[in-house]
Amino acid sequence: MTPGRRYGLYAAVVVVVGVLVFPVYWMFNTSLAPQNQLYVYPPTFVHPHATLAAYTKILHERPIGRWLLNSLVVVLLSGAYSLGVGVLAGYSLSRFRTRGAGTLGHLLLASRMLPTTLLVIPLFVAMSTVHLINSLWSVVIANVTFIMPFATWMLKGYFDSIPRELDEAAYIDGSSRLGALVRVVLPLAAPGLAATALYSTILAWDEYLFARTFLTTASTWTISVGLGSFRGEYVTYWNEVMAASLIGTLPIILIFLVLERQLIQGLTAGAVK
Amino acid sequence: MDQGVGLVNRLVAAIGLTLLLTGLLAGTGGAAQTIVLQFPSWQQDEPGTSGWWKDQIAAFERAHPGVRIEFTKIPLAEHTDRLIAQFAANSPPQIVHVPAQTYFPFADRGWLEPLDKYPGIDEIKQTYTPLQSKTCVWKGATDCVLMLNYGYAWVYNSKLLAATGRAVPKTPSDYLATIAAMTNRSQGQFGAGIVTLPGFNMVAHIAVFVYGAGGRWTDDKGNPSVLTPSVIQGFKWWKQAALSATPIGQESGPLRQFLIQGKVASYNDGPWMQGFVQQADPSVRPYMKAAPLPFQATMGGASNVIAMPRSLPQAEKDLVWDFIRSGTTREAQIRYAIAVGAPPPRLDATVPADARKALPFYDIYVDASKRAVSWIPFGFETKANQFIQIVAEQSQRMIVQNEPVEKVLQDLQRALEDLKRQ
Amino acid sequence: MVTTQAQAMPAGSTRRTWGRRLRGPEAFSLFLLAPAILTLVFVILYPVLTALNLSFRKVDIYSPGVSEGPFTLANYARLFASAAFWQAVRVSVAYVVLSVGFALLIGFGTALLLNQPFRGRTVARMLAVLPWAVPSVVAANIWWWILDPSYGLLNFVLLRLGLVSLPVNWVASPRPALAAISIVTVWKGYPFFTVMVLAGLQAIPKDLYDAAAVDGGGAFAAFRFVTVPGLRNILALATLLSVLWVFREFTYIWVLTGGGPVRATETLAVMTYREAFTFFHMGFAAAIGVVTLAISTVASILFIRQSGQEFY
Repeated sequence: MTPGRRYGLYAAVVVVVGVLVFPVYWMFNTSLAPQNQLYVYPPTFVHPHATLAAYTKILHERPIGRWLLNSLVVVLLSGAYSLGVGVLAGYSLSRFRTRGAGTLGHLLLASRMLPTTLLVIPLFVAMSTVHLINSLWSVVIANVTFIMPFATWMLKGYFDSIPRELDEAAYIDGSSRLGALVRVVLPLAAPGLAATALYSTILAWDEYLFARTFLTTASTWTISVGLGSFRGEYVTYWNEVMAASLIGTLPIILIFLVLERQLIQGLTAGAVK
Repeated sequence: MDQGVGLVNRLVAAIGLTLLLTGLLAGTGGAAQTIVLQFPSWQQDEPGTSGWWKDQIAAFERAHPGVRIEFTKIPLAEHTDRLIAQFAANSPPQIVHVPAQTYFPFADRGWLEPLDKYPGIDEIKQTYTPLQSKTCVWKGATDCVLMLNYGYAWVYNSKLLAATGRAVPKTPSDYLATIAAMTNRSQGQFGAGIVTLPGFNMVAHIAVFVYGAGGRWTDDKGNPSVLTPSVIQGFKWWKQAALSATPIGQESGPLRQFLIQGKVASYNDGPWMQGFVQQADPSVRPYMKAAPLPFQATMGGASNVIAMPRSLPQAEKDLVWDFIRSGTTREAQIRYAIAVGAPPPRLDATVPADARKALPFYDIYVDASKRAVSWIPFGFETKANQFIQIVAEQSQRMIVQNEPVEKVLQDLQRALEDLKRQ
Repeated sequence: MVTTQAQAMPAGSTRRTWGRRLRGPEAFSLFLLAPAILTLVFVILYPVLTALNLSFRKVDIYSPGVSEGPFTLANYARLFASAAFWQAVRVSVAYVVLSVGFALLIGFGTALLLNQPFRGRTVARMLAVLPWAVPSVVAANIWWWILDPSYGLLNFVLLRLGLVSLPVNWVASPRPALAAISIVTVWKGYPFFTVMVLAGLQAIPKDLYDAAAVDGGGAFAAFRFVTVPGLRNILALATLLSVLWVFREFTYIWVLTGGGPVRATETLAVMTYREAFTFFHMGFAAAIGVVTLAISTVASILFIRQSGQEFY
């Protein structure tokens, strides 16, 4: 590569990535703005009097800690269930071809096409009947409707990439079928499990529609619903909205940066054959 | 594959942690024997009222150990829809706080507890403004207690007005010319803040003009009547005001914010503005003034009400009633008047003269509330939330697509007739 | 269930007795699948059937204990006669085409760029797909602020570059509002294409490029005859998944425009929700949802047939 081309490449990368990630910087930048610097024109790109006042104010005035905790509970419960069921189903889909697989395949495909705004109506009716409205369980159950299919699909892709000879070797060693899955295949699929767990976390953390509909009081809201409730009637302080948004994004970004490679491998394993 | 085993262990740990956490949460839920009364309201962060509510809640919690009131913020734009969904799902909050305009759907479905048998209700009936019974008696039963009756006023920036060399407007045409004169779009200066995003506030702002022109949403029989000359006139004023003098597409939050920063020169609103202008920039605050709206009628009437669900256990009903009642005493009503800056619904609660002096807009809002005409859509009470949605959506066409007022109102009339039939 | 690879049964399962069968691969496979199938029957199939049932009833506000009313086709009759429905169909199509189209272009472009060897590539790749991890509501909040007509960043940039002469009213005028929701969707959606294309590029054997070079073609020929065909399947899959995902998108639109102004951004998904939870016409809303489901099912089947690919 000639030096000219290399510099051109670097310039292109910096510009493209810079533009694409700029909104994230803008969130950060606005969150540091003093109150009276919000509605100014032209916009300030680096605040000379940056302050954390918005963070202290928002943490004091809104139950953000509670929202984060609620989200964590939803993430862990819906993720754990989806992963548990998804491991079994994904393994089965990868290793055996049976009639049950056909049924599951159709259901999985249907779940992809199903509009969530349709699904939320009967679920709302059902949750009302069993008195789960305003309970985190309603969201946990609803989240399974889209997390489990994804988990199954991703895990199947991962299991496909593990040679089946290993299972058979385990049988010969006297292992049961379930034993082969747990002791031989699962450890090998660990990066895939991590990726699936991460993706499930992103999905559940992100979920807004079900939570907005089922969780009616602010103390049961997940972080998504909380962050979507800032449309102000009295004031809209963008520094506070952005500070809260940043707090709600940080956990996911951190996990993402740590596990990104596994995630991408896991997501594409099923697609690239 | 050590790394793999490590990951599995971490996953197992995560699942274990989940179970532990849920156990903990369930544990704390069961261990603390407190009764929690949910109180969602858009006033949770409203300057003036929120302070009064918080004082009331603190006093109530002191008097009732083991009972906690959870006062949470719900934006007004989605408040009624959320409440209806909660009632439909049979999980309403214990304390029901709604705008008077959208209270009827709840009363009509029998969701609200009749209050006539509760102790102290007679005192409320005797001491409150007649609007209490006009608003809160539905099908013969008292289902709510009126929190506030109000009238709108014109809150303006006297410095920006003076810069145009004009006086406080006294007629509608004068008003329209004045807000246009205070507008300089290229400098980001606007003569008026008018909500043009669909929702409750947008329709309230339309009502200022429509009712100001002497129009009514419906006729004496409760049928839609948006094709009368006065309604058409009102919409024309609104359209002209919005197109000539306001930043289009804003909710009330940013608009009020612009007002106290001096970027918007005037705003039509209720008495709570008094608390709000206290937060104005020091450079703007001395110039914040109020004047009566320059229309023949002033929009207002019953503002908001408080009630409780019929489905609550009796013990909770008694608690909620205690809470509601604690806000209706003469002393509490005087504090309310001072906090809101407007006369309270209880007529014998007069604000002392010295407290009055600290409320510069008080007399204007007293006068406005006396002259106010309610904009509750008579005949559509039980479908008030749909009514508001339809009016907002159709009206928006006038400013977003610049469609002629008459044409849109014909569609609006048809849409409202459809709603009536449903 | 269609998979590409042949599924070999473990050896020794030719002679089947009942006992063997119960412990055999078939039974074991069913044992593994059962939780998933049961879950989906419970959380997908049953709700869909309930919704289908609702769509044939005149249920205005659903309250437990309120009878569901007699069977009626009124919801569907009203739906197909309503201008709002056809408007929502048009908006949905425009939104999906705009969003998926630009997400594909940007995702493809960044993937090609980040496939070049250079120092710091790992970091660049990580940053480029960062919007993916940003929660949807946060993305909507950020863009809401960037798109603010008076003080927003985007209008500032556009005015400064001379691309517009007056501030664009992003959320309050119909066409800009459609652009606004598409911008957020593209920003959240392009990383999926980036990731898929990068994976696809790595799967193209290097010798194909060498062969193209030997044949005397330039960089463009290599792109045209090696890269594009090599990515065909993965692009088709990513596009289908994105279309299905955008078609049912709700969050960005709800937070940013609520479907307005004047229904200019009201997609079928948003219309369903508004009818159900603002107007409380549960039956009518269910009918819109059922039609939406029918559209995406037919489109997926056609697409899958057309591309000759197998999914699941």
